[in-house]
Amino acid sequence: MNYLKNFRPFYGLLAIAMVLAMSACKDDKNDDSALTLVVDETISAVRANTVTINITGFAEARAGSLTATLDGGTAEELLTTSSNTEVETTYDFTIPADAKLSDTYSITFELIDITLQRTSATTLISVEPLLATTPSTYGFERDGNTTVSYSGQNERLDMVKAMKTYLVQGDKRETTISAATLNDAYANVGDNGNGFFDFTSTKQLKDKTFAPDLDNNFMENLFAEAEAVSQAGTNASNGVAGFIERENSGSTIMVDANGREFTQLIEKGLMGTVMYNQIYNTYFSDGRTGDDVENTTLREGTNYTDLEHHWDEAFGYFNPPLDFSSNWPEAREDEVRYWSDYSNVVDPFIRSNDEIMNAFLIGRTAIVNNDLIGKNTQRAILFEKLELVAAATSIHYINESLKHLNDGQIGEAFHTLSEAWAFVNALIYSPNRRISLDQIETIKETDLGANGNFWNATAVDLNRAKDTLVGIFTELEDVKDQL
Amino acid sequence: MKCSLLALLVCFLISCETQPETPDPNTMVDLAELRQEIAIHLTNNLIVPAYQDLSEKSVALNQAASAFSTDINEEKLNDLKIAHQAFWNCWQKTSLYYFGPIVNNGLRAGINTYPTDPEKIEANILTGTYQIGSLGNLDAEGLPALDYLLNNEDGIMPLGEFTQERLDYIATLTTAILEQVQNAEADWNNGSFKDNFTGTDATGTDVGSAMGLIVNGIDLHFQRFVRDGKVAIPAGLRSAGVARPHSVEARYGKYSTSLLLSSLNAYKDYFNGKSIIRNDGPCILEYLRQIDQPVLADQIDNHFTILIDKVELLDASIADQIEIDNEALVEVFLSMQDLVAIFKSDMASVMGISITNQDNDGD
Repeated sequence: MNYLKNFRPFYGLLAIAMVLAMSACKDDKNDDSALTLVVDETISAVRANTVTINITGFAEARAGSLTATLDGGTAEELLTTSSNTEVETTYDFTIPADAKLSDTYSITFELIDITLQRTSATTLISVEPLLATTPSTYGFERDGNTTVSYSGQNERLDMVKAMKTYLVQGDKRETTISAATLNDAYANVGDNGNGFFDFTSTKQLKDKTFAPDLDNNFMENLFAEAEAVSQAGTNASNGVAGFIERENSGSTIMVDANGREFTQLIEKGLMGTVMYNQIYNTYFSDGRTGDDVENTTLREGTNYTDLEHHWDEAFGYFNPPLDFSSNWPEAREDEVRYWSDYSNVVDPFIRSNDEIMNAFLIGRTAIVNNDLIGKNTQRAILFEKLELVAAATSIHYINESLKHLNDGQIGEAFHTLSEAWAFVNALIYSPNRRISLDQIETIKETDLGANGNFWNATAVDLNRAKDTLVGIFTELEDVKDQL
Repeated sequence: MKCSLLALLVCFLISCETQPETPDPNTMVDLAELRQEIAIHLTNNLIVPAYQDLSEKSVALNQAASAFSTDINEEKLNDLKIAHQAFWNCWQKTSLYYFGPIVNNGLRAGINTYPTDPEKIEANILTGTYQIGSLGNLDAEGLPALDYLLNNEDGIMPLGEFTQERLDYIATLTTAILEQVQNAEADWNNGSFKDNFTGTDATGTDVGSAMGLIVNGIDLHFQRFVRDGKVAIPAGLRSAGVARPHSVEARYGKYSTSLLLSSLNAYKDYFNGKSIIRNDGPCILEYLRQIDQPVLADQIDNHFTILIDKVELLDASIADQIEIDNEALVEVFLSMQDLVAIFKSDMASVMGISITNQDNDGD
């Protein structure tokens, strides 16, 4: 009854209809005259597009009123004349630009003849995907121009690379490490790390560091210790920081009093505390890729929506080649970087390249289609698979450490134990992690060497660390010795 | 003969059950069968008896150490040295099966990390604070540490040096060896590895197959622990020609050449399927002959003979040989190098096995 109140022209029609209906009754004993209404049952289009619904009706007693009502909303009068028996018209409906892929719209059309007989028919409108198929490479366009941008992530990865190069020079005694230099690089002082970088950038690593690590000076402490060892130039021994030779390569590395290699802890540490932290806690937070993030209006001065861009920035911290896949050719191994590099290391055993790449591609396609459910599904997969890469890489380096221990190669073992430590540490950053903080702590500070000391590492302890990881990441059970 | 009969029987059964599509059913089926027979023979008649022997010799070593500590005299010391050398010799015949649990259980490092560090050993005896089996203590334990403790720098350890603390440390080391050997034996016999090695993984040639592990294990172990550990490193071939005689195995007992010979003979037997309990059986050389590579099989066998002949000419101590004539050692190294090339390219490739060993992860 509500719509009668709101739709004033209807009163006039009603009055005429009633008069006509009464006279019709007098002449004709047949109560029901023919009344039909046919509309398109289903129709679909991509969001922001208009669909045209065909409407055909027949009212023997002549049409009185034709209305359209969207999902139980307000009825809209479509008929301008009421004298015809044949009704043939169309109705245009524009799918909202912010429609989600899962949205449907139902429009009920009602035809009333002048005897007040009613009939109705419903059209169901569904939203078509803008991008019907998931592309095989990470390229997305709007109006012929790319919508993908993650230059800030590329620049930060370049910063890590430059810091690593500098640290390795220190390891090889080719330069004396300065903590101040590393701190300037870390905070990117003066947009070029105070002259450290051979490029300029407005980004920095320090302000993207996991807050508790920042509070504890995780990186700064390592820089200071590396400087001290580099300046002193002493040889490492149990309880004494210094240089130690890697037996296979013959080159030296700088380790702390517990045998931990600064270069690995810093480089792989940044992979955790910046790259994974940013993916998990920034870009995969609901604030950045939740359902309420803007995905219709383009960010000013860009060709992307906020949601698209945030997803791409997470992708940028994984930083694979755009056509990354499993069985990645050796000839193109120089294109993989950091996390995509390590995914590639464990890919033969867990197919992580395909799993992660597909999730990024399907999720990004879902975002183009405003398929929020699809986006959320892929985000959950990425949480799981990225964590699995860190766990599998941890086991890989524990295996390597066991081999080096077996070979009696202390320098090599310290190198791989440092990597194992940093990859286990990288498990901390996911808010959805399957492993507990206590378990991570036990592996890092006991299993990789009692009292947090790699010099104390034993085969028994390392195998226990491996068992703990496999016990949690059970999908690694079958490949634990091959990783 | 038993195996050939078995193979015949299998062929017979197969030809009865299904009509083979290939006219010559001998080839395909036999090779998979043969690979499994090799894995089973290797396990039952070479590896298991080798661990058993090693285990018995580790018990004997402990008994000799115990007998010496209760009755310190030259005869008991000599018995202990003999038991020590016998165990070390036996280790050469066990350690070459380098796949499965032994790769990860730390046995090799715990038993035979050399050169050993006399300073660390003395410090351990003095302070009593050390952790057996830990990365930082590997060069102060196992057979090389006992070598130092029993023989001293110059080959003679006066009886008066065997203080209670020293005897306790010897007991700690021999006990650790015993435990590690027994654990490793259990790892091999009780774990799932052996079942897969002789069962589901036995017939194929892929990376995780028994044959894949055997060939990769030979490639890695022979290069790293035989060629490099026993010869190349002491001869200075890994240190720009600067010899490192202190890096030889059995430095103080001065019998490094006999350990090398044991190792090479064990390798020759491995290829020929010969063990301490059986004289023959399905083996790698037979496999090569089956795949139409009799020349390669003979080449490998002959090469071992030639190599062993060269080693037999060396001084009993490789360290002394370095002083006398390092060139003889370089020649042994080059002969080993040729053998490695044969393993890697010729043998692995005709067998269809990929070599997956990598020395370095690049960073």
